[in-house]
Amino acid sequence: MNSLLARLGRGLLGGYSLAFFIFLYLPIALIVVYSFNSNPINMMIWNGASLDWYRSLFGLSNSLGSSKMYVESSDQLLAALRTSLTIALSTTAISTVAGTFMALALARYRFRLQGFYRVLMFMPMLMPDIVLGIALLIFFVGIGMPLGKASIIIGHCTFLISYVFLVVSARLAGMDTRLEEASADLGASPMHTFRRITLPLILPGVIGGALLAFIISMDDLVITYFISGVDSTTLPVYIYGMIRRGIKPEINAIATLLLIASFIIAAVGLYLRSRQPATTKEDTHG
Amino acid sequence: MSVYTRIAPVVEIRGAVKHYRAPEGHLVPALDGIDLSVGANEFVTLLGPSGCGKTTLLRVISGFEQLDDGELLIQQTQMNSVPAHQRPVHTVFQSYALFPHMSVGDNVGYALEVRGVGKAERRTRIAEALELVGLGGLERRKPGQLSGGQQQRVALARALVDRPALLLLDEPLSALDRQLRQSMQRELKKLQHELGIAFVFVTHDQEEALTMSDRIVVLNGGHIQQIGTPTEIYDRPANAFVAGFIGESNLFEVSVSAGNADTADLLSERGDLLQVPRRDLQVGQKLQAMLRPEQFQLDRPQAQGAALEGKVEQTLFIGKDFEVSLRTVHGSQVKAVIRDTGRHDLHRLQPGSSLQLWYALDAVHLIPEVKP
Repeated sequence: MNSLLARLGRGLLGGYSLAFFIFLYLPIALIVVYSFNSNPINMMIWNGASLDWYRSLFGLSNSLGSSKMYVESSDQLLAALRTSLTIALSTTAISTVAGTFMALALARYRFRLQGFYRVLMFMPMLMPDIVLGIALLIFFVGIGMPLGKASIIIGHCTFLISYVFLVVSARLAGMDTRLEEASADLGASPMHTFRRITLPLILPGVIGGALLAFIISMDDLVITYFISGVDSTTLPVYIYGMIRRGIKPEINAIATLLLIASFIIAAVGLYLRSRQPATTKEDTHG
Repeated sequence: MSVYTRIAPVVEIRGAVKHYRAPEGHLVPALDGIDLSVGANEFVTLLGPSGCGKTTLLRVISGFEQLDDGELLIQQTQMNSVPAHQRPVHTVFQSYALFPHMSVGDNVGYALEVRGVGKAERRTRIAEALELVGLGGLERRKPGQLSGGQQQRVALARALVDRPALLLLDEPLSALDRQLRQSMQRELKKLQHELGIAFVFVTHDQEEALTMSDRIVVLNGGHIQQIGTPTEIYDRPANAFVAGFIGESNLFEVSVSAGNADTADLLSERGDLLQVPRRDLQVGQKLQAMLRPEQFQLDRPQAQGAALEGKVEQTLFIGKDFEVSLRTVHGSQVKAVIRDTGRHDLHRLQPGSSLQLWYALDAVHLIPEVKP
């Protein structure tokens, strides 16, 4: 009787888990599948496989004929991708350096109002995007700064520094401070200790924070929407615009490509993490 | 035990004071007026219970803590505010603190790398240092691939590779199992003797301190309780704390009740009577009298002796010896360690039987009463 109940319970749990994952991944799977659908009229009706939407994305000839509209849209799309990459790479560089040093300062030095500063570092992450977007817009307009790539980079940095700070802080918390003391004890200057001991040990955290910053910057719509100018349309803003003009099958192809790019970045991040000792403390006690 | 000849001190500490701020806000003294000097080839152990200030004192010498007051000299140079990386001192940490991302060879050679020693010379000196601790040929391993004992040796090699003037050891053996710890104790002692480098060793393990040290500094509550050789500390503890902390002891609160020609009678608070050589004791004087458990025997000693009488409460075979708990007729508890190799006296040690525990009069150590 008991075992029957247990089996029933396990079966229910299994079924529930399956339903959960279907709910989670089915829409994404559909996008990938329909990105290969050759039906140009209704993208929900399967009409045979084709790479037309990918071709059209890159401005290549396709069965739709080379209508003017498609060429235009692919040029705009590539421009938006370039803008997004420029912004994401700049933002990643700035926020990684700044976030890492803030994490180091808060973890390694004792000063007044330390807890307060820590909270300040978390705040931008918790702030609603829409509030941050409006605040940044008002600020940029107020100081007379033209909206464009620069304003987006600054805007992204304001909250991405927090993400990097969080990831690097977690890594620092798992690091034995005795290692830095040992380095100083053996005669290494603070600079040498940072270069040879601290940085290599927190590097997986720094890289993880950088990848996170890159993905979020590439992906951000709400804040960017407020502070992007006419010549600085990013990929998410462009896609959002496309949808407003009616959902076109190319969107499926763009989404699939973005998905693949995200997977690659996540895989690199996981690989780098697995190569380093998980926590340095365990290693020293052995 | 080695005979130690003192030469110029490598470390001198004068009037060292260090306070910590407790979570409640008030200041707690960690070091409260410490004076200490360590000879250039001396093995000094800082011994005390946790929180006694021994680790703080070590961290003051290594440069990770600053003194609030007092003076620290290393090799006759004032070092109070010299940063840790500029002091001619290396530390073996309790957790070893090996760099997990570097090979054993790079760990050991770190102090040389920092000083800009060339690669070729570095390699030979790394090999020498690893040879010294019995780990030759393990250069390419990562610290995580070594056992606890091996990591301990790597930490030691790393700290000795450039022959510092002084080596600080912060309870380095506490993570090892008993057997390994004992063999490491002997090895460390031998190494220190061969290298002629001063060692300052921190431990809370009194056996370890007695085994290894030229001198022991007993600390409690931020004060030095006693400084002396292991035998001095063991045989003539300066106060009740030292007597209780080092080895086992029977302590009696006594006052001198009568003085004879060459002996004096001491009456304990419970009424036990002890006899000691007369010395310069005054009748009425209050003292503490100490007898180590192993100073008792079952029969009258050759030398002038006296006995405590009572009933056996418990007898334990502790390996090699018997530990006897005796309740005296006046109600005091006395612990004795009796050697009975031939097992002839077992019947006398049965719980419940009456027993006389004899001691030589001059075995009693007297501690003058110091009221704080």
